This record gives sequence, structure tokens and C-alpha cells, in this order.
Amino acid sequence: MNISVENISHTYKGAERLSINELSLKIKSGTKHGIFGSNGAGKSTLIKIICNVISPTSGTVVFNKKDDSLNDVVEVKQSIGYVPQDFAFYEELTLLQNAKYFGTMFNLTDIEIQEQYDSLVSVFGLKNDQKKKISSFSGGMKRKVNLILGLLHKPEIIILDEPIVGIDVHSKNDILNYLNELHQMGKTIIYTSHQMNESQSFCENFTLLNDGKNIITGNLEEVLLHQNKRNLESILLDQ
Amino acid sequence: MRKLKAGIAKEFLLLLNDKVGLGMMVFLPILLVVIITTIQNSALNLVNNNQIELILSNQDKQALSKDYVASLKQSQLFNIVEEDFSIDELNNAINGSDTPFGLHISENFSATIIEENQIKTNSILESMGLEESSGKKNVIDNEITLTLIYSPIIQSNYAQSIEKMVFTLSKKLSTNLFLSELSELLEIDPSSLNIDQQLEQSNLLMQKASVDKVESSFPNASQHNVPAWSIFAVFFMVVSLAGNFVKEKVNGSFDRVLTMPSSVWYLIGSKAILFWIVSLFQVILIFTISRFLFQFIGLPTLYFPDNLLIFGWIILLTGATAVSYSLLIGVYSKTVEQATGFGAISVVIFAAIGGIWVPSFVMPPLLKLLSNISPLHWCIELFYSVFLKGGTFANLISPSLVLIGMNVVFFLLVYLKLRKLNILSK
Repeated sequence: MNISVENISHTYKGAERLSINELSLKIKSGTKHGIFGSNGAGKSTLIKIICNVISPTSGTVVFNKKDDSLNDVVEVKQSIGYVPQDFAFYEELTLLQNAKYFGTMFNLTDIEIQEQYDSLVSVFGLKNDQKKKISSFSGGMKRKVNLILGLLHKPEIIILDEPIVGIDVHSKNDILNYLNELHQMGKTIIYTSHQMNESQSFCENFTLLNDGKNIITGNLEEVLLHQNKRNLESILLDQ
Repeated sequence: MRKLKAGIAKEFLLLLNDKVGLGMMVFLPILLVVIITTIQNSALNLVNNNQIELILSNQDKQALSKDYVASLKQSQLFNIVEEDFSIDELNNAINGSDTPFGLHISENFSATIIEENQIKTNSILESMGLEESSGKKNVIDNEITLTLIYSPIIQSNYAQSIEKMVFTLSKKLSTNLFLSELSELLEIDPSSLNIDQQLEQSNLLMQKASVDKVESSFPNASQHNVPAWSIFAVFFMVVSLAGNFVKEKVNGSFDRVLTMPSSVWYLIGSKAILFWIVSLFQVILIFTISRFLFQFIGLPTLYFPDNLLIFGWIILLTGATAVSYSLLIGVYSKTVEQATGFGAISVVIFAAIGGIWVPSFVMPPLLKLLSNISPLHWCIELFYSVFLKGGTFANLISPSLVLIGMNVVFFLLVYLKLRKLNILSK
């Protein structure tokens, strides 16, 4: 599924400047697309607009399946797996209790929830912690929970906002390896992170944001050439 | 429907796991009702049933003061401890003890009453032409003969009642003496008149009757406090419900739900339904304890209204109003602190102006007017209507309509806020 962000702008209530400023962008189906920029560049806002959490002040986001644009909001939502930066789940509940709730909201049957849950818990090594409340989990385990809940409904597009922030190397590898597996299965992955080394090696295409504007979209070489830098980190250092 | 059930199940599990929140919603209200009812019950007992502790210092050695002390004792209103104190010493004794009242009878008590009566008698005889003007003084000096001292913790209206009792007994003594003297002057044997008996006797009878003519609904501490504080407890769900709603907005789980192919109304509806059920449970639990267990802890039993259908309607409407108010606070608050702080304080203010603590009819006009904006006021109107006034459905129409109107307004404000945030179109 291709995503076309067409000339969108957005401003938060009471803010003086636009958080997204006439931004256009195309994300190809089946790619790993990184969105980068310094703090306040508009990454999280752009992701929330693509995920339909907030609406743009102007402009549209179009989802194309083959040559047809998808107008059915339910179908679009069913296609997106959103993994927010925050631990967006109920820490007082167990992972299964969370999965049952969010899975039902994604129109999954109880059997589908249980199957997908068993598979993901096994992938992320949380089998032994199923009966514990999530509040007792470590930061890395909570990141994995955040990811599991975004992947329950087997989405075509996976949108990750800082999915590996604040976690240990093992958890980071578990998450990135699984995301690579999903990519090989043809999923589209949209990814933001401040950890530029991992991002540079993980993503295929990049969009560099500054002050809510798209500075450049392209592969690594194109972006580095455009910015006349040797790596992504040095681009952000200059912003 | 499946999504709604999943939402309710999730809310139920969250509530079960929130031990503090659960305690606040179930055990604290029971504790609150028991404590407040006990306090008011003992206050009522103190006024109505118990003898009032009184330190008495009689500095007058004459017979009249002894008669007066005897009449105080015979009244059975007071538990009297006699001491030989000056006014200052009596003051100190009241200040340094739990005894609420002290009465000082000055040494001129009897002499003043006798002098007063002589002046009165002479004045009457002169006016009847039975005695020539003697030129004696015919004005009574203002002499302080009795000093009632009361502890500063005693409310002034209560102290005034005691003052009237003490004064009435001294007046009775004076009247008795006056009639005796008058009868002697008229050469009638006072004992043949049975003055005491004549003064006591009256054919004027008074009866007390509740407006619903049901003995059980005569005001008692339970009949008043259980409904009032149950309403307060139900509305205090604002801390849990609004706090819980804001927590989800802040931690991103609300945003996660927005990315899903589900209406936000499932999220709001499941919270509303669960907390509505919890409010019913709260009221039923508190009322059941008050009906069946209060007697075992020395509190008056709560009597249920005859019409349980009406009672059910009132509980449902009260719960619904508490839920819609809590959702309103949750939707408009940006932080958990805002929701819980503002929510709790607003409920306390609504309780104060709504007549939960003291009935709104004793409030100044402005507060009486303000009480109309308190949802708790209309809830208590409904409860009192059936618990104390034996109200029928017809009596409930007006407060019910106001509460239904408030529910509509609260939900409309919730809807407008969600629409403004573009959440409803998601």
C-alpha cells in the first residue's frame, strides 16, 4: 500500500507556528521509510496525521492499494499498526488482558487474538511473563509490549514512533530483527528515531524534516548528497 | 456489542486492580456514612436523651435558691455537680473540663426575687386602691443573680436553649412566690390554691406528626445522613472516572484507540456503563448496611420507602448524573491532577451548596439560589422526597426533569469537546 501525503499543514491550538508546513511526501509500499529531524521538526505530528489520530488543518493523506485509492476509513485503519512513543497500554493489566481489549477493538475474533498473541509473545521472549502485570516489566519489555499491541491485527503498514528508545541492546536487536522479518514479508514500515546509527542501517528511504517542512526524501545517498554530509547524525547536528 | 463488552471487561479489571480507587469507591463511603451518622446521632442524643452536665455554684444561703436548685434537679435536664466556686473559678473549671455548662447563683438571688415581688405586689395593690402610695421604690434594680457559663465549643444556639431553660425555671420560681404573696395579702391561704399544680396544668396539647404520617420517617440521623452522604460518595467517583479518562489521554492509549476501526463512544460508553453499575452497587451496599447492620452498632435503622420502583429510579438517575458529570470533567481536563483536584473540590462545593451538610432552606438567599445549579441538590431532593416525605412519582417529576436536563447538558458538552478535537470523525 502506497501512502501519499499531499500538501498538509497542521498547527496545535495556541501555537504560534505551524507544526507541519505544506508538507508532501510519498512512501512506497513494502519499504522501510525513516522520518528524521531534530526535536520539534514535526515527526510525531506527521505520524499522528498519517495514523488518523489528529487531523491536518489542510491537505490530505491518500492510501493507494495498487491503483485504487482507499476511501474506507475502517479499511485504512485496519491496515495500519501504530506503535506510539509512549507506553500506550494499561500497565495495571497483563499483556493478554491488553491484547484481548485492543484486539477486539481491531475487530479480531478471540481465536485470532489468541493465535497472534501466542506467536508474538514467543517471538519477543515474553512467554514466562504472561501472568504478570505490565507494571512489573522492564523498559525493554514494555517497548516489546507496545510493539506487540500494534502488530496484533497483522497490519500492512507499521508506523513506529521511537520504538527502540531507552532499551538495552538485546531488546533493541529483538525488535529490529523482527521488523526486518516483517519487511521481508512485504510490510511497509515507517520509522522515526533519534538513534541515527541504527536508523541509517535499518531504513531504505529517508525523509528529513525541519520546522515542519520536508527538506528532502530519498535513499541514503541522495539525502547525504543533498545535505553534503557523511552520515545522518551530522545532518541532525547541524540542524 | 462485543467491543462494548470488551471495554467494560477492561474497565472492570482496571478497577479491580486499582485497590486504592476501589477502596475509595466502596469502603470509604461506608466509613463516611457510619462516621457522619454516628456523630449526628450522638449530637441528637446529647440534646434529646442525655442529661446535660452542669457545675452549679450556689452562693445564696436562703431558701429560695435552694428551691431553685431543687427545681433544676427535678427538671431532669441536668446532671448537676455542686461546687463552691466564684465566677472566675467556675470559668476556669468549665475551661479545663469536658463539662459544657456552669451556673453561678449569686448571694443576692433570693433577696432580689423577694424584693422584686414586693415591688410588684405593692404596685398592684396601689393600682387597685387597696394601699396608699408608700413612696417606697417601685423600680426593680437590674441585679445579676444568675450567671450561665458555657464552654466555647458549644454552639451558640444550643447555649441559648440552655439559657432559656435556666431562666424559665427561675421565672417560674418568681411567679410562684408572687402569687403566694398576693394570695396572703388577699387573706387567702396559698396552700389551698395549689399554685404549683395550677401553673403546671394545661389543656393545650401538642402533637408531633411527620408530613407522611409514618412514624418511621420521623427525622433520625440515618434517615437524613445515609441518603445525603451516599449521594456525596457516588459523585466522588469523579476522582476515579475522570482521573482514569485523563490518564488514558495522557499515556497514549486513547490515541491508540483512535487509530483503530472503532468509535470513541465504545471507550466512553464502557466507562460510563461500568461506573454506573458501580454507583448502583455503592448505594445498594450502603443502604443495605444501614437497614440491616446499623442497629448492631447503636445507630438508628434506616427505613426504606414503600415504593421500591421509585427508589430504583432515584438511584439510577443519581448514578447517571454522577457518571455524566465525571465524564465532563475527564474530557475537559488536561492532566490527572486537574481532573482529580477540580473534580473532588467541585463535588465538595456542590455538596455544600446542595444541602448535603446542612439543608438548603437554612442557607442565605444567594446560596439557596446557587443550590439550584448543584446536581447533588436535586439528587437529595429526590431522596428526601421518598425517604422523609413519602413522595409519589408526581413529587419526583420536577427534580427528575432537572436532573435529566443536567445529564443532557453534560453529555452535550462532552460531545462538543470531542467534536472540537476532531475525535468523533475518526
